[in-house]
Amino acid sequence: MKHILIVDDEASIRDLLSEFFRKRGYKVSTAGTPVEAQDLADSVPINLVILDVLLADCDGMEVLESIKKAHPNLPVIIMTGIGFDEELLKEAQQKGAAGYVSKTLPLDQLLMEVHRTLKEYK
Amino acid sequence: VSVSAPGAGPTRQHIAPSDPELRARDQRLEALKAVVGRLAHDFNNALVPILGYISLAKEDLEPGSGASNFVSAAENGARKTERHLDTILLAVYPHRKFKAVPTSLNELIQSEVESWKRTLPSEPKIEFSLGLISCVRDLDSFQWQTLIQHLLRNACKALPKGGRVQVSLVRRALDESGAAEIGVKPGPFCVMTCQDDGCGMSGETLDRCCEPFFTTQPKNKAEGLGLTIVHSIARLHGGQLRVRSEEGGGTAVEVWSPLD
Repeated sequence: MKHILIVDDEASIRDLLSEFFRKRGYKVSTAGTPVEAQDLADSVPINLVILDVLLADCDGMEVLESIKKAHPNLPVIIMTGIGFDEELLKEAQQKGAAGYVSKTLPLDQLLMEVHRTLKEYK
Repeated sequence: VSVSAPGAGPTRQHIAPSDPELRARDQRLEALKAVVGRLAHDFNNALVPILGYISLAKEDLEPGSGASNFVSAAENGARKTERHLDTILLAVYPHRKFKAVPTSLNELIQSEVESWKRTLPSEPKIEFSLGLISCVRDLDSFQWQTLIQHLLRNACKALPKGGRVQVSLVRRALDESGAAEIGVKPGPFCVMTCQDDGCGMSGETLDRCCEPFFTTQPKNKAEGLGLTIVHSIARLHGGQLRVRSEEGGGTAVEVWSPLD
C-alpha cells in the first residue's frame, strides 16, 4: 500500500484529501506544520508528499527544499490555492518538485497526477 | 481627458508615474485590488473542501435519488461561485494563470474582432474598422483574448444606437519623459487602441474606470470588472493602459505593450 503524506495548514483540506485517498486504497499521514512534516518524512516510509507551498507560518518552498535534501528520491507534488506564476514554478522545479497542482483542481485530476508521479518514481 | 492607472503588481517594466495624481490613483487602485484579491482568495480556498466533499458524497449516493439531486444542486451552486471567483481573481491577480509564448498579436486581434462581430445582433448597426501592423511578442493568448473581448464589449455598450468601433495596432516609442509620465520604462511599444464614437465618460467615471466593481451600468447588467481585467493583464505583460474619453465624444482605450 502506497503511503502519502499531506502537508497543509488548513485542517479541512487535510481531512478532505485523507478521506479521498484512503477511499482509494492509500495509506495517508497528515502534517499541519513543517516540523510535523519533516518528522514524519524522517520516521516513516513515505512514497509521495503533497505539499501546500503557501503555509501560514513559513515558506513552503523551504519545506520542499528541506524534504528533498533529506530524501532526494521522495517525490513531492506542490499545490497552491492561488495558482502558479512562472517564477513560482521555476523555483519549485529548481528545488526538486515532481509536479504541481492547484487546490481547486477536481480530485480525480489530483489522483491522476499522483498516479503519474508514483509511476515516474517507481 | 486621460487616465493611466498601473496595478496587478509591478514588474521590471514599471516605475512609479511622475504625475502625482496618477501616483495617488495607482496607490488607491493597488490597495483596492489587494483587498478584493485577499477576499476572493479566501473564498476560493473555502470552496475547496465544499466541492471536494460534494464529490465524495456523490460517490456514495444512488444516482437519481432525492439526496443525489440535492447534492448536484449544491455542486452547481458552488461551481457557479467558483467561476465568479475565477473572474474576480483574473481581474486582480492574473499571475495565477499566466503562460506567455510568442504569438502574433495582429492575428489574435483580427480573429477576436471577427468572432465578436458574429455575436452581435443586426440592430443597432455597429461598423468595425481594423488597422493592424504585424506584431509578434510573448503573450498569454487566453488573457489577451479576454482583454480584447472586454474592450469590444465596452465599446459596443457605449453605442446603444449604433456607431463605429476602430481597432488599431501600431508601433510607438516612449522616451524618458513620456515613459515616466505613465509609469513604464522607455523603449519601443506596440499599442492596441479600441476607439468608439459613443457616449464617452464623465471625468469622475474616467477617474474610477479601472477600479474593481465600478460600473455605470445597472448591477444586474455588468460586474464592473471589464477594465480592471484589461488593466491587470496589460500590466502583467509589462505594459500600461491609457484611457481617453470625453462625455459625448467617445472613448479610446490604449494598451501599451513593451517590445523589448
